[in-house]
Amino acid sequence: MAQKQAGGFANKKKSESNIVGSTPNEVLSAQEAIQKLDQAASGQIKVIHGSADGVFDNLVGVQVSTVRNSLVNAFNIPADATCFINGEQVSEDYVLQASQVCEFVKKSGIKG
Amino acid sequence: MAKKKNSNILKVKIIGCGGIGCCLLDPLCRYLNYSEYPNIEVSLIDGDTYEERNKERQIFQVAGPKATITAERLRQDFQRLNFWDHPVYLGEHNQITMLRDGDIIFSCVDNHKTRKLISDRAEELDNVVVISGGNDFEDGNVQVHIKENGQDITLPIANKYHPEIVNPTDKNPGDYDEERMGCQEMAAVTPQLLIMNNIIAAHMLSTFYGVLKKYHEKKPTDFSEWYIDIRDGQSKSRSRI
Repeated sequence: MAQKQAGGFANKKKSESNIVGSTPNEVLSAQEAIQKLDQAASGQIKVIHGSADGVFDNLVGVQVSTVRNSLVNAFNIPADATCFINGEQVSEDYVLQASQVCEFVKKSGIKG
Repeated sequence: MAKKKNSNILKVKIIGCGGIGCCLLDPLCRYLNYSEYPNIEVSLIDGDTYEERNKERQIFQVAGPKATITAERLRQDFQRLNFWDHPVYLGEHNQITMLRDGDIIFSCVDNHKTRKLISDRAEELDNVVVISGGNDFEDGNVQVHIKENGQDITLPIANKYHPEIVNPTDKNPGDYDEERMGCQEMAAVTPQLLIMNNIIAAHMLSTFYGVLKKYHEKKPTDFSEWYIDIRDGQSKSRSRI
């Protein structure tokens, strides 16, 4: 049975004070937060694949398969990339709704 | 391993001393050697052997077990670090002793079976950081799993976004018998680019720095995956829910 150690990781020498953020739950930069609010207000849909992403005005009511085919070259979307809408996997006939985030997730790099 | 009371050791485990591992180890060890951490252990885990043909992407002077040869080299340059070499493949039989609570684990392996093994073991621990890198020829990704006091801060490596890791179809190199393939034989089927190994290693190091910095500042980590594509010159981190 593995010996459990005290929680957390090894601490540095106590030569520097801890810096506490003003908002412990803050995860977005100011620009990202503004973009997110604008997107929600306008009904835009964000499409992501790997390091590529874009926000689009005209995808409400469009199927995932159509989005995939339209962006396959621009976003380098491989055929076996699975689609997630707001973090939940969906099928190719799923119809996009306003303010959603559509992410095509490619398989993880295998080599090392 | 002897129990240590009031231990304050930073324990870093590197699994895989191949392409990504070689690119990662020197800057990582240099950073750690000159860091403020008082006690640092670096464990190298790899059952593969350096061969002359590996020199295209990997750093070594003499052929031999990768973990042992690499540890010997690094001991010369980074004498403040305590190196342990484990010239074995990580497997079901040794994962519990190899990967322990409080570890910072760099996964530099070349198969999803081992990534799954590491991810499952991490889920059994209360405190762990796993930084996992992998690449195809011109793109790749880095995933980070942070677990603190039994709570997942970010997703495990084997998660719903990566079913290929949840249900791997490849093999752990340690599973091979007569059919065992070393890196070079696999490279003949799946070539790699040293530049891509280097980029992934750099992002793993950036992730390591960012995770530790935010841990000490008591701030949350806001991404769990990083995508890199050198064809388009793009690199972007993503959060996962």
